Amino acid sequence: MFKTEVKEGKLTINFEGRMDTATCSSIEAEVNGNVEKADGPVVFDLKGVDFVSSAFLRICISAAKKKGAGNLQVLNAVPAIKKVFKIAGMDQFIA
Amino acid sequence: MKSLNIVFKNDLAELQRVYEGVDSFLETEQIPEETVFTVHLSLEEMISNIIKYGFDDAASHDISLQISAQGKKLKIVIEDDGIEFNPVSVPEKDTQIPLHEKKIGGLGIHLVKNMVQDISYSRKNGKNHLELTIK
Repeated sequence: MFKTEVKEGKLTINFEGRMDTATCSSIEAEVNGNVEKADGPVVFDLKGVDFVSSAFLRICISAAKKKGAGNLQVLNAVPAIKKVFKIAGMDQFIA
Repeated sequence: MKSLNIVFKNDLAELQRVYEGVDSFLETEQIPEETVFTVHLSLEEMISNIIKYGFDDAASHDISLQISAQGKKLKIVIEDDGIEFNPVSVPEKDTQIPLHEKKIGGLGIHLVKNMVQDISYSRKNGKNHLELTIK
């Protein structure tokens, strides 16, 4: 589902699999906890992710609100996922 | 026109079985990957909304899903006997508002409305009847 690491001083969360409603509700509290504890910017790496629903966008909004808009970066989103972020008006997070 | 019909209960644990049936149908119909993504997203958002917010009792309810394929065009019909709710009438979400004012709710419906070709709703015989066209 997800693994965390610190890369160049930034907390990176590597997500894996389908980020659907059921998965997101089971990881949301833990992801939020990790984001809260982190110093500085946070990276969500979606290299291993092939699907996101609005439940994942909610996790992103919540992280960006905690860290400030410029301090959340979403990496390695496939085109279909980039489109979801764009439609949601959240493409500023996509690197 | 080929179609798939699945009836399932208002329980999120049912979704796995629903998606397996849907994926097998979409594969047989050789539906392109991008369309498959839109189908997954639409079903995920609409069905989880129905299961989470559609019923005000603890009883078990049937939800029915029909997908029909005409070439690469898909028509999806979702019916439930829950509280009357018309997602089409939900006001368009302003996605350009600043982050600190961003509301978390309503994103799912916004995504579906903007990714499908057509969406229509009616209340028929005490049921919510939602039709989506995806191509």
